[in-house]
Amino acid sequence: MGTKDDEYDYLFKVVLIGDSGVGKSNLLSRFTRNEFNLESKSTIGVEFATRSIQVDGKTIKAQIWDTAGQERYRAITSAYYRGAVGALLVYDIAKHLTYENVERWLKELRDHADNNIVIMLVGNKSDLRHLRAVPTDEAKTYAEKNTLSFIETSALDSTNVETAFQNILTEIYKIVSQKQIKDNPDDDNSPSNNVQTITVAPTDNSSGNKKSCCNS
Amino acid sequence: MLQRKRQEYFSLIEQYYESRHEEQHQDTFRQILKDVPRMTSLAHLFQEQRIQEIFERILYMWAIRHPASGYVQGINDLVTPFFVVFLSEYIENDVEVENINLTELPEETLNIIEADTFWCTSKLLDGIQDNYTFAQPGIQLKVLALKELVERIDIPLHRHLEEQCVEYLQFAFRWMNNLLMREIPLRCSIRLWDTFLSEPNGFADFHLYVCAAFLTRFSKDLLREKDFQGILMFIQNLPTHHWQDPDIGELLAEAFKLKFLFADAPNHLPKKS
Repeated sequence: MGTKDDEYDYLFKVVLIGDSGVGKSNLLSRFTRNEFNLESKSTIGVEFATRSIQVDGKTIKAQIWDTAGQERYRAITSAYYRGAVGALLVYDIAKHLTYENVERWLKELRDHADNNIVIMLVGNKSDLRHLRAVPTDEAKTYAEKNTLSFIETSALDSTNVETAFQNILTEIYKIVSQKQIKDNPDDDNSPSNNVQTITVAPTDNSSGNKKSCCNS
Repeated sequence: MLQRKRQEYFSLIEQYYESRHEEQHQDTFRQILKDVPRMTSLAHLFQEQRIQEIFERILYMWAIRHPASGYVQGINDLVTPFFVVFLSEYIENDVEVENINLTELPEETLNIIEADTFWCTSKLLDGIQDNYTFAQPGIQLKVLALKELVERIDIPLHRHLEEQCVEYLQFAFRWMNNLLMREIPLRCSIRLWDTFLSEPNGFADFHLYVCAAFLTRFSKDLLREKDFQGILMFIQNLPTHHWQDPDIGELLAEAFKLKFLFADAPNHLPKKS
């Protein structure tokens, strides 16, 4: 992680969504604290964690929102999509139903999230080889058809967790930095008007607390 | 009376528990099956198949009798305090002690505990069912009320939260949905519920004042956190692991003070237009 936690060039809000029990909270704890808990409690409402990574010499702080998977919570959790620039849509490779429900989660994002949100389909629990119920190729094809990126991970044995977050954050970074060059060729420190969902902290603001975080 | 209720519970089980395999109840039962093994407050107890099945039956029976809300994640936590209190009548050690042995407990005793737990949980949930119906209006209203109350009693904290764009819903949702059970140790929840049970609408109305007292108790720590992430990280993992009865006593004293200031004098909390 290397950098001081409160210094960053970009702050990206990413949400973790998907059915209950697919391992969203463990993906989050693996990425942010390198921890895994076989008996982690169900998430109520949302939980939150951050971690900073380096992309292209810039420090990107990921603000990750872990949401509850149960249907009943959606009326409330949809409020948390506000301002999100990325979404990890997680299913369990050993539970086909959680994959079938990806369609519903995509609709959820279309209805409540920003149109430009970057979505990555994540097949978690890849360590459960003997129980696999969703073939990799099928999910990959589905992802391509819906222009999502795709990866299989295991929060338990750490496979691809780092890569998944690194990839989605890089993808977001590329979009944002290109937009900034296009919209504000002279000043790449100010948030562009067109990307209102993205919070950009000025590079020289080391305390990081002057940023605007109340996006509409 | 007790006998009759216990019999009633088990005849409900006999009549309806099979329906868990029916198509229309699949989602409910599946969710319960996912959540019960994940209840870690009494990890050692929940490793026992018999105990898991008791919770599954209680939750499923409550859910199908209350279709307006059904089973919502978090309700499972609310069963635990009753279960533990009733269980403690039959065992020598404190239930928080890791090595209690349930294998010696006769089936009949567990049945009594199960039935009593079911009815007590049902009674509790009757008072807060709007927490769990569609869009969870009970929770939204209570979180709003909490915000308005804190704005009156701790202006610096309220401003600090607003300035850092922390929304009350982001942390207090869980406080309402799980009645603070995720925020304090189980022994403290049991002590807290003792008071809730003796207050009119304790789990709904008085709980609000407890939440306000709870939040403002950490006012200094929260003011020390300088940004959004710091505040949320702190508030999600409040340092309450060591809490004992006296901590709850203090919390309740503060909550009673707030209740007498505001509940009986509603004009102290003017409705904003």
